[in-house]
Amino acid sequence: MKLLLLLSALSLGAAPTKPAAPATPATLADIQKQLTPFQVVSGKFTQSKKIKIITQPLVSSGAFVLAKGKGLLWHTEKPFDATLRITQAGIAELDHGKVNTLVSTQAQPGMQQVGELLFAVFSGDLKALGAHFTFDAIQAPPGAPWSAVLRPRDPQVAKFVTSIALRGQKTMHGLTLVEANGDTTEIAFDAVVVDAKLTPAQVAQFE
Amino acid sequence: MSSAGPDRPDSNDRPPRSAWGWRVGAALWLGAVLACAGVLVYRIQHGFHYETQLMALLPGDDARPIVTRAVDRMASAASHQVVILVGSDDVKVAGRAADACAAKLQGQPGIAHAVAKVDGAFADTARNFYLPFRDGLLTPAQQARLSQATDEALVTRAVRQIYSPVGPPRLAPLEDDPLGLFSEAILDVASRSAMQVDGDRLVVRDGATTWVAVLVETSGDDGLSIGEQTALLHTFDVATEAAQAAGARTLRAGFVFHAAVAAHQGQHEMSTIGLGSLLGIVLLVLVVFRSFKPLALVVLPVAVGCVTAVGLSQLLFAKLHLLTFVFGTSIVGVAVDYGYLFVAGRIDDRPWDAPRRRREILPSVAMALATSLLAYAALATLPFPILRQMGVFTMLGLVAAWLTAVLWLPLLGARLPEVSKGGVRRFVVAARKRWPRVGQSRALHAGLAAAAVLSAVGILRIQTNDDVRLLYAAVPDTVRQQQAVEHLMRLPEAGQFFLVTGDTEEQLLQRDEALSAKLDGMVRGGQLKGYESPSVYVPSMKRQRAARDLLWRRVDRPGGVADAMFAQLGSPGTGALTRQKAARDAALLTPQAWLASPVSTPFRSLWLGKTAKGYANVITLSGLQGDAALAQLKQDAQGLAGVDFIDHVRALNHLMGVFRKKMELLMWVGYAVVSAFLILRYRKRSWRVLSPTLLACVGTAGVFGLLGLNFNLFCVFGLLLSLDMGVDYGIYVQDRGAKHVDVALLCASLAAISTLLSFGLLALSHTPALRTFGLTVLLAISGSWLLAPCFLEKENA
Repeated sequence: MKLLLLLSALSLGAAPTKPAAPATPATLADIQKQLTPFQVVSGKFTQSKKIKIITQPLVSSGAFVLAKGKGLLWHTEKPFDATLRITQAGIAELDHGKVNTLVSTQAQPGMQQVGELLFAVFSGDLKALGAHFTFDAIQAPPGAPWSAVLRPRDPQVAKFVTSIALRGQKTMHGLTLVEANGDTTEIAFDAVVVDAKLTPAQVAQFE
Repeated sequence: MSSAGPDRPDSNDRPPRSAWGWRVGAALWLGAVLACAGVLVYRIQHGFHYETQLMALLPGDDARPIVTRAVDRMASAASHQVVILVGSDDVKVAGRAADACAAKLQGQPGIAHAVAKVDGAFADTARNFYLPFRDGLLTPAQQARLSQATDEALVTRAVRQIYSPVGPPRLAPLEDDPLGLFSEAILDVASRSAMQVDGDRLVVRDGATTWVAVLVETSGDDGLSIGEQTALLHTFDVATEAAQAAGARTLRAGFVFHAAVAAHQGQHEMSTIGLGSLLGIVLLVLVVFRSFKPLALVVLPVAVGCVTAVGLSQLLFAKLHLLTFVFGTSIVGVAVDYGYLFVAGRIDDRPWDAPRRRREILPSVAMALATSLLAYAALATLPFPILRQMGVFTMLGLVAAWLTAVLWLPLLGARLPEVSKGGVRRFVVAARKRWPRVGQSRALHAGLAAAAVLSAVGILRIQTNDDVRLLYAAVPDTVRQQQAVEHLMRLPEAGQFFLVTGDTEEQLLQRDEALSAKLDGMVRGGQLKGYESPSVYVPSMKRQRAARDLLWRRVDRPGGVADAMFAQLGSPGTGALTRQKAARDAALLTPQAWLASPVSTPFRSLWLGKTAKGYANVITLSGLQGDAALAQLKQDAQGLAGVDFIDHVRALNHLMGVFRKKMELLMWVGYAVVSAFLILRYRKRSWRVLSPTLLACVGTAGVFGLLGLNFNLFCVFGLLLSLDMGVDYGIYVQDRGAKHVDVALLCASLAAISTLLSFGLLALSHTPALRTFGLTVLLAISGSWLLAPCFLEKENA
């Protein structure tokens, strides 16, 4: 579980948490109700990674598409062009039609649930995440943006991940991952389209 | 075969000296029997231990003691391990059920420890242990990549990995492991196992089901007593029931289950066969003699034979296998004949004279004993400890029974009650008169001809099976669970492994690496699921140095890949930090350091260490895909120095085949000797003596062929033994004058029925080898007995 939680954790990224002033604790159901259910969600991302020994943040940006039951395509456009595909089969790099498998679930069976967890994170399915994380949810008035800070239940995961903060309203706005070694990763989502159609190219990339 | 007819003219004047001699002999024998009984009682009081693990009684490789050591090492490593897989579609249910299961095992007698949760810190232990040696621990794939890829490709790969939002966890700080090679190597090694650490659980996933492992180690060094084994099995039953009650499915694997089941069955069979045949004999004697004294006289030699066999063999063999006892129950069927021959004399019309009866039967029973001993001795000379035990055990029992019959019965049976000569005798006479005869009955001729043709067809179709596993009592469910666990956990093949030797540890590890490279190829080609080799965890010094040099040359040196990577990340100064932390001059990982750490625990049985000629270790294989892969494996091993492919089971099967052929040869020699003897004694009538047994044995072989039953060493042995016993019936029936033929028939029938009872019951054994043995004797003896009257001469009728 460690590996896959970490994978999913790393996939979260984050938006800076801005606790709303008149914070009221939200229930799982409150947040869940607010989120729009979807089959496919796509959008832009900006990721900023701060690593202790690297003097400046590593900023990258691009587009993503998450399809239920298929997986995630993470297309980095800047500072380099690369596409990652995360599916039940594992993690692969798609390079102009070539597929380089980086992690295979065959070799790492723990990876099998990664797809499901990624989906849970991107769709803000806190119920599914609740099995592996404790969390504090904060919400301003109903319908307003919410945020939730997740902390791993498993002490082994806690050795790597301190917390994951999710932020959203009807869709996810972003996430922040704080690693135990002090490194942080922030991901902000933009131009999120719920229930987008997969383009033929994207369908091909999932195959 | 037994022998000379007991019918000699009486000589009433015995010299008293001889009587004293017999009495002294009887007294001495009493002392010996009491001593044996004493040994037995002592052993029972101190826990009656026997071996249930067959591996311990299969022969080793005498020419190469190191092979034997490797086989023993692997067997003993496995013998205390039990795995219970607790499965459910819901991981939490499986986890709770596994806890319930382990709770029922912890602290129970016979359980050293039982864990359903793994120490999550184990991963940390491994990481912390290997971290200082990281620069020498590149995998072969990483070494190839670092040697071949361009700087640019390496930098691009590393940069993308750092930017990637998903990926394997980083097990070392970026400055210690800028390319993530250490993390990759550790995960690569972790993925060799089918079991994955999932939180604090060790799990294996199969479709929707998640199996949580409960790892158990049983205590106790040597064979467990019957009671301990039953108790242990009960403990495991309670534990698996607890898991099932918590809503999970269970699979369990371990020697203990096979041993316990075998012990349970062996015990059950021993008592069924022993008691069943004794009960049959009791009934038989009571029906025929209608008196208890003859019964006591018939049973006594058998009882003494059993006690002595068990008592003496305890002294002779360090470990007595349960199968030996089950096999040894055949003592009952053979030894009972000695008593029968003695008391059957009472049916005679002459006044009863016990010493005279002894003189009459002595040549017969001496011959019978000698031939039986020869047959069992043939078994005992085979260099297969389990067969040797079986042979010696039975020989001891037979000799003891024989001595008892000869020394004690005339004393104890000095007075025997008059035997009613009514019903049974009339029945025998009537049966004999109506029995079809050769030379008279066309139906019999037709039947024999048809049987001969069918037998010939059958014999041509005989399938030999020399699989040593026929000695294992296979309980389908236990075997199914074991196989399921082995498949899920990718456990190594039993008895199929590579033995690698070298003059020094360094040479040994280098040879391991050469073989591992070939095995990696087979794993990639799908011919092999996996293998375990110590060199995967402790590379040779040569490989570690090469890895370190390569890493420095390509990555850490000024202007290397690390510098280029950090420059591209906009942090050009960081490369110097990496260089400073490079573990270039750190100590190399040695086998001693590895063996001393808990990280080597699962693999220590692979390391044989110092041997007479150098160093040795074992490389185990899992999931070998078919015979083509096996051939490939052997071919791969041939070109490599110090590498031997050991196929222990196949070697044993080969050995069994060799023994079967030897036994076959012995059988033909036996037939030739018996025929020669009979021809000398019976001249023209000899065919009448020999034919029943010969036809019965041919028919038995035919039945095996026709029904497609496995023909093995034990069948041949059964045929040899049947020749020995079956010819007796022909002799009894043919040897006597016409006035005694009914006594002879009765005697032969008593002997045959008793033999059929004990061997027939053996045919119900769960051990395939014993089952075929019992069936062989059952068929051959039935045939010999039923055919014997067919070959009576006309004037006898």
